Amino acid sequence: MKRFLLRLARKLLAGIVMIWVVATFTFFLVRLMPGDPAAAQVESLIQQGYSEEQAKAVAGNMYGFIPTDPVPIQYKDYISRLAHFDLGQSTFYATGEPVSHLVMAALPWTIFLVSMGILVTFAIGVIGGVIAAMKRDSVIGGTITLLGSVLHGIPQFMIALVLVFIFYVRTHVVATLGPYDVEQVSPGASLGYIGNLAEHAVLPIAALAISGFGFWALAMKSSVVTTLGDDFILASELRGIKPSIRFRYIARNAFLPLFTVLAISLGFAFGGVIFIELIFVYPGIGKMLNDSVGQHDFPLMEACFLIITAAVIVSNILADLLYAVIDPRIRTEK
Amino acid sequence: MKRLRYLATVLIATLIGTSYAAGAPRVDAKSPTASQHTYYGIANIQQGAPLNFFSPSGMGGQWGSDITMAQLGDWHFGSNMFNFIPVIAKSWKTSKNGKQVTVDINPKAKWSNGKPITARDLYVTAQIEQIRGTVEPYGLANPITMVNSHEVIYKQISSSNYNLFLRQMLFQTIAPAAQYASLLPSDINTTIKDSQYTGTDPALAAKAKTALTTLSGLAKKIEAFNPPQNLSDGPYKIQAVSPSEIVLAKNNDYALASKIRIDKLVLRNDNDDNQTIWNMTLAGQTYQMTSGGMTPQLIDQMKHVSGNSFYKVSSTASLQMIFNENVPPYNNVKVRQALAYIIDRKPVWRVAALVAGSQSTTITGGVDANARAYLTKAQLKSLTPYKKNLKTAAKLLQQAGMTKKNDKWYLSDGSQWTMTLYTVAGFNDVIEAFQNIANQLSSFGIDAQPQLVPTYAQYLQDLPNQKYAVGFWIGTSPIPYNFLARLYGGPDGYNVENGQLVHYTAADKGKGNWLNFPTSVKVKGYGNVKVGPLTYALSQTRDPAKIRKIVQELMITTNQYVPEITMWDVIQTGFVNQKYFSNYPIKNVSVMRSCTGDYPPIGCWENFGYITPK
Amino acid sequence: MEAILSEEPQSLTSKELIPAGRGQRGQSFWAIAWSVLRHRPTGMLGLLIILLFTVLAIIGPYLYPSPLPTDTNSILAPPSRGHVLGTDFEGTDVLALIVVGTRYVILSAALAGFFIAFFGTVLGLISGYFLGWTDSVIMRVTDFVLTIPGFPLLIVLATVWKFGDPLSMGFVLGIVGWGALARAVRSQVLSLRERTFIEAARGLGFSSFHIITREVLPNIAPYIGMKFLLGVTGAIYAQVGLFFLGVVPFSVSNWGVMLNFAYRQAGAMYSSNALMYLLAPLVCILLVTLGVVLFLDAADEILNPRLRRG
Repeated sequence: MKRFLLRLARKLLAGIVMIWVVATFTFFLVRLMPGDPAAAQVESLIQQGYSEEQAKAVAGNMYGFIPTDPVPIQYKDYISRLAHFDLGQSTFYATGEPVSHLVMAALPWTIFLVSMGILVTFAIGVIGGVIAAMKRDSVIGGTITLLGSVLHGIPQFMIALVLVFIFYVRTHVVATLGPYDVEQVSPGASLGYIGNLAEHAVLPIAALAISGFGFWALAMKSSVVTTLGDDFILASELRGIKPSIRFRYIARNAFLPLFTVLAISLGFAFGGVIFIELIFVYPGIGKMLNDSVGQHDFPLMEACFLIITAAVIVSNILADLLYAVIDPRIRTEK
Repeated sequence: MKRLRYLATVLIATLIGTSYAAGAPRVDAKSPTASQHTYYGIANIQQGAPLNFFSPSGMGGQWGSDITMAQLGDWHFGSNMFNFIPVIAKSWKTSKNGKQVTVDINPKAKWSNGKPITARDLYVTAQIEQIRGTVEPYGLANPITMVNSHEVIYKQISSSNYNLFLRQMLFQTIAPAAQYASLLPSDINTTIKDSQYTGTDPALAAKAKTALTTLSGLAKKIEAFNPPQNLSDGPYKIQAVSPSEIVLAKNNDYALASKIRIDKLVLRNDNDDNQTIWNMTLAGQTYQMTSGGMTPQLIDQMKHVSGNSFYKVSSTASLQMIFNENVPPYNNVKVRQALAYIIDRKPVWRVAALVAGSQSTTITGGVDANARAYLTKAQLKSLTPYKKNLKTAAKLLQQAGMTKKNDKWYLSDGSQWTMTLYTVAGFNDVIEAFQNIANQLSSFGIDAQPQLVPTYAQYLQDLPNQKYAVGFWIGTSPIPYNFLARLYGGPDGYNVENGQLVHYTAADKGKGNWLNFPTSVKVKGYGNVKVGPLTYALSQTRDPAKIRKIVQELMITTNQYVPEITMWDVIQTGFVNQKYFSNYPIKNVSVMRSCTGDYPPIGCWENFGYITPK
Repeated sequence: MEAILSEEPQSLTSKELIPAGRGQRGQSFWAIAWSVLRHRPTGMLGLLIILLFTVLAIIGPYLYPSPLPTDTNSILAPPSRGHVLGTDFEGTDVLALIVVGTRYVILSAALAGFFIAFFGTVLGLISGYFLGWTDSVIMRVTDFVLTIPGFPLLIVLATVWKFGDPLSMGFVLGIVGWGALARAVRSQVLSLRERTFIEAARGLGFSSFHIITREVLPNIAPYIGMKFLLGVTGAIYAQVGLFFLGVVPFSVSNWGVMLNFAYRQAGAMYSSNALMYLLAPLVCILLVTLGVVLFLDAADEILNPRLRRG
């Protein structure tokens, strides 16, 4: 147990160092970005009917949140604020609104999509992988493998577009994009709301599942094939041990390595659902990152990027722990 | 496997948790009342934006007229005179010299909580506008005078003579004193007064500087303020907001409530590249929509949907190709004229704005409709049309010292002439236009290509820093001063500072001059024209005849010196569906034009007495 | 994006790996390749598709005049005899755009694959062979590269980096994507360096450079080759995504730009006229991906005897 905690502490420390490195990297990258967001705001106000002078005054106030100190001092401020979990104030989205509020509002949507998407994808992919491995030499096995390889190679946004085209544009099976219909249900722990949410989530999750299927199916297949070659299986076949026991052995040993991969991919999916969020209009972190780049909302951009990276780091630590918890070999080592 | 089952349970519990958190409402959703007339439309919903009218990105007055003293009445091209529909105000009076406006408040005008709007609210609003610095161009004196609980007097400071003072005062969005007064310190009037000092006394000047810092801090506080409840509703009150939709109900406390016949307004968010707008229009699910990016085939399809009617409204906006006259050869008027002769603007318009634009036939700095309204018939005829004429162009270029060798044009210094046309990623119509222009120029022998700047923010930063020789610009505004100042105001280095016109040249870094138009040019029939001061004069006179004369002079100057080439005039296009609601103003162009600034224009149309449920 | 970042986990890939080339002296590599391809027509098909697009990338731009002719009287026209796939917003033939645009997509993707393979291999080899502090430094950097989410980074980078030519696009995609390969190569080297033939070479006093290039590299070359092809598909995926989002630069014939304009501007999802404008680049991306995948499937069998059918 002591060794386990030590391991955890080391991982956490490494994670914090990594977050600091990424925060520094983002900070300077963002400062390299050319562009005057206030000027863009002046233009948009003029289009709204403000006169030039008035637009300049308003934009001046709006962008009063942008620090003008020299970069090293800004950096010091930034890091010390970060240490207090203060992500700064948004300059465009909602002027002066703490970034943490905006991010916290967006985060659940991304978590929702990512976790649901990965869960479904994983389940389908693993089943497909097992079948593909067991029936390696049949048409079904070959088809699954080929399908998996092809789907793995198709960009996610293309699958999303095709789904939108079929179910939203052409057939109207899905009436509206977006996470739920506020006109029909009000958010809360009601069955109606959760049902509505689930209904709307079908397409985006299907898009995630279709594009992710290949990865899991191929990984599972390869894992099962490896397990099948284990001495235990060969021996058990010779000695006539019950197929159900054999299956349990295969399932367990082929499945375990995938479980840690699952945790890792959860982190990467945070940055990987940008297109799903954009095309299906989910106001998650990815969409927010994309919008904040366009609006030159530096604090928000830094925060979104940091959160996406932190998700990767956290999931890596999680994967490590999971591995330790699940794999008996590692457990007994302690 | 038990552990796995446990993990799955935890995961599902988290999911339900997050789904609840994700949907947590920003506004208390009241149970929907049994409403008779529900209207479906489209709006732009800003995620997480505060319910604050003073926040430029706030969700204040998007759905119909917000809570201003009056709404713009119908308006015609060529007029600097505006009509108004009273909203909060019952009536108003302007003094003879135009420097003083008295407003009487409508006793029916109420905040969304049913409390009456009083002179005190206007008083606090004026203080807030002072703090934000937005009234400075109009010279509003502080504090305003409260005659009694329902009457106030607005005065202009003595040095200011802004001709649209009345319009400005009537268009102010009023803030409820009950919410905002507590943000202001008690000595705010003194601070505002201190900040306005422009003399030479060092002690007072230092005091002014401190006061300005205080004010800018306050301004930030006001713009970031997110009131728990929005009291400043216009025709509609927000009932529920989701990331993709907003539900509003009729506001019975609205001064013009009798004109509002829609009980419930459901607006869907459009921020997905037109896909929601197009899909809903094709399904007949939205009763009103505005979209600039439709193709003729798409419009045809939409017209076939039962109840759909297409509409077009000409606007005051135009897309212009502009030159930095600090960069040779574009400092040479002959080169600019030649380019106007080379570029055939018809294909440019067809490629970029076949539906959402009309072909521009004049180059005057304003849209064709404005040119026709301000110029006399003779003047219109005397304008150079710059119809495609490669021979004239070649002659002009040769006069400018350029030569043509092996089908390519060379500058007078012997180097080959290449052009980069700067535009911004995502501005697809401008990209299409510049692609076409580049093709035209290239086949004439000038190697040209469009170049995308990643963001508009960067484009607008680099433009005044003299980084682009050729780019694009959007002309806009119904007000003559505003649309001409789009060229001869800030972009040409002419800024209004403390009621004085100041000029900066290209050498003054960061002062915004990228047009670099000559300070004085010789114009046929006018002699020497000084564009900067002349444009500024447009804001300072109330005499319509004088305004007309100045606009004519500047339009003819623009036509002769070509600081811009108008690519097309913008047309607003949209659909209404008349299945459940009728009586749309789509045939009444002046009403339509007055409401183009509102997105969606539903509340604005209703204030004019339009939209009746069937 | 997922494809260029989270490569298959090592626990899986390393097991697939068996040093090729050596130990199969009975048959020549080409003979095995030929026999596998003959038995697997899908692999052959994949190879043909790859060859087709490679040829298009080389000769495509020479098949049409530059700039491509436009016709503003037939904007977004439906497919016809003159324009088999219809026209774009300027009245330019979509087929011509696809053909001319192949070069940028394929070349930048190939360069990205090359950079991924190059950085991944060199760093992985050095790290795994020399160990010590070089190893720890390289592995810390690798951790960093693996942690930064690639596609979000590209979106932010697009505002400072000019993706105008295939080289700069390929380079950035390479820089973002080499982490997983470096780790995999390192673990390969770690297992190889204990083998007898490497020990022997070291005992004979060969230089490290000689051992790495002559003894270690050939053994992992097939694996790197496969990763190169995977990198190519990943790069197509990422760059088309960037263009689809409307990030710089602009070129009418770029497949991602075509997707962007068809989707956002031409309403291709709603209008049958412009549908081919959307579908043409989509199908081409699918074809290239399919080609690589089919070929890789066969290549896997050529290089990995365990998977070979009896």
